[in-house]
Amino acid sequence: MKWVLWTLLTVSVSGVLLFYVWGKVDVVRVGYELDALLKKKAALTQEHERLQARFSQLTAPERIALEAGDKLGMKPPGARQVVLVPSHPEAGTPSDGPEPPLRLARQTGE
Amino acid sequence: MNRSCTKEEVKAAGEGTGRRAFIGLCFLFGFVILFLRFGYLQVLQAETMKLKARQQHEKPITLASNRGAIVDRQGKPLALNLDVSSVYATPSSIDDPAGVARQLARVLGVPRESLEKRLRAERDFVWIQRKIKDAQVKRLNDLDLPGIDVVVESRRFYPKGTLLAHVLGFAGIDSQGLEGLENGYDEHLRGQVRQVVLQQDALGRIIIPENRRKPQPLSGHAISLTIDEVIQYMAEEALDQAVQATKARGGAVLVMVPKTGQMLAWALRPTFDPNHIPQASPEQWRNRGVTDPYEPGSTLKVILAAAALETNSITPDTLLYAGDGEVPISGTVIHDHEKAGWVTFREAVQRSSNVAFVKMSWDLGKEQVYQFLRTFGFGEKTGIDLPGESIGILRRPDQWSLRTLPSLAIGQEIAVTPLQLLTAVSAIANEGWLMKPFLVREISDQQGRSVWEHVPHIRRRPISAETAKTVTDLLVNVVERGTGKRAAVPGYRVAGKTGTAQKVDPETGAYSSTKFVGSFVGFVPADDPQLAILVVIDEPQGPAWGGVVAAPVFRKVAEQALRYLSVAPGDQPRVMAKRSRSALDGYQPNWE
Repeated sequence: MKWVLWTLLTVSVSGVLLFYVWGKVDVVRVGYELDALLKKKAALTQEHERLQARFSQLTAPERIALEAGDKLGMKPPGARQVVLVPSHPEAGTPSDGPEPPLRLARQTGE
Repeated sequence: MNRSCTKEEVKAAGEGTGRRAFIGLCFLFGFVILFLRFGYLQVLQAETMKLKARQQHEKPITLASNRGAIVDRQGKPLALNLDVSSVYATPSSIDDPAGVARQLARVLGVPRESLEKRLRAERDFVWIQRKIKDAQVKRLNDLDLPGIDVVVESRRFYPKGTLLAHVLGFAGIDSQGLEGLENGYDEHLRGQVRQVVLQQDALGRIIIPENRRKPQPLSGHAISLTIDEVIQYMAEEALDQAVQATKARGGAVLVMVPKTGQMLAWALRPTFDPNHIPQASPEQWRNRGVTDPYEPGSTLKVILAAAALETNSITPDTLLYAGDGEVPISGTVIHDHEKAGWVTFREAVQRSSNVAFVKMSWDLGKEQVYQFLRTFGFGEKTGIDLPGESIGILRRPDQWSLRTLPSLAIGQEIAVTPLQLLTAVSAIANEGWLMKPFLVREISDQQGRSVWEHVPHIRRRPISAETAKTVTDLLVNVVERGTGKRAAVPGYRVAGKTGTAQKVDPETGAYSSTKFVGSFVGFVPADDPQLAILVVIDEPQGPAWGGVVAAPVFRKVAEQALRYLSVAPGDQPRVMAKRSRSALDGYQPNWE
């Protein structure tokens, strides 16, 4: 009887200790995973910054003007190539209501 | 059964007891040694051992914060950070400095002697080369040199190159702001560098402690500018073309929203690329828009005209005698470029008559002239958020000679910065309210939350709305019929004034007959000003008239910017003016 009690006590204490250690080990394991993910996030952030910088370079007005002019043969529209178009037909007439917005329309030719 | 022990047995028993005692003593001695050693390590060497353990378990790391980004009014990046690699050495770990230096020199392209000297330094850490290329990092990793290591750092990067370079300035190799906004807003941009200690295991892996997050670097705040990169490009392109066409020494185009003081563009030539500072000189990166005062010439007549009208000493229809185009002043003669006879004040402004303005300034008197110049902001800083602003040169009346008042009437004996002049003329466009110009509209934290927003500031009101309107009409007349015809933008009423100022020859101290500054300052649309623009062309070759070299630049920038901002021409003022106002304003001004 005494032997059984001792065995149970030993198993119980060992179980509690193992559970405690397992918890600690798992925390460390998750910590490693977290660290790896943070490193991955840092790498992706770095890549995002690099791509953002590249995007910013490629969309610079100077480059776009150069590409549009040299490669596509485009040029700024002349005075007669820009036409103001009211969004609503009655936009040109005075009214008491809210003023309708206008938008710019650009003709492709003279 | 009792049997007496034999002599041998007694001897053997004695030997056994002695052996046990000996072994016991050995154990005892061993335990005493262990105990003493234990005491020595745990008590006497406690601090040293703790330090050793800490060195093995703890990993100090520097959380270098990124500088905050700088973006334009549309959120387009103008200054960013890129991660780059830097190589450093631990000289104490290098047995063969000469050999390592030789291999490093091949990869980095640095003289071997210089590297070897650094590798022989009696220090634990020396930088070998900062911010190297990826290919060089790969080659170094392949070489796997002892005592040589690579660390990732953040480098400032300006994706638009020279665009807005003078305003942005640049940051140094340690990411500290050195010029321009990078310097002026360094406190907000730089963030915080933190040293933290983390636990590591035997393999050097970071152990994140329970209930704690891994500390993150505290990045700097992002800065949002009032500048629009598209209008900035328009200004720079137009200025480049003008400087090349006139073979000028340099130039400036500043664009402001007159009702708020927001700067939309700030183009200066010569310029530089902030990504390549070693190739640039202070002469190139100096922000002449605020640091270099110049004599404004006839563009200052706008202010004199406003002063005369505000004091009711003249009206647009007052007749002035411009005579045969010259007036003697204390041993010298001030000329007009053509004889005018009797002219109305309106015509005098239209022709930019020096003689008429000299006579008008005499009527106005030196105290009033000085007072109005001060009220319009000359002789003081505009308060723009850029470092190194000059107050210009405006002497007090008690320091004036007999020649000073007539000279001021034609924009001489006074030096103004381009920004001062544009701000003063913007007050006329803004119904007489003088605004404080500014470049940064908002500062936001790492999460994009606004932590500070710039509200436009009214400095004072030098003239009434009525006077401002009268001056505007005079300036419209200059563009429609006078010296500023080449600034006219089809479909819009433009108000402006030309200026052609002689430069002082530094060798003789007298006005040069060959070096001029041609300029034009104005605003558009005159009825509801959305843009105020100043163009300065420094030392153009050939014709130097402001109406010839600067007015066309105004026209080009204004035409493109008005279209870009969807500001409708004069026949459609109602709707488009409202749209454009909402696009540019959005602030309630505050009194300073």
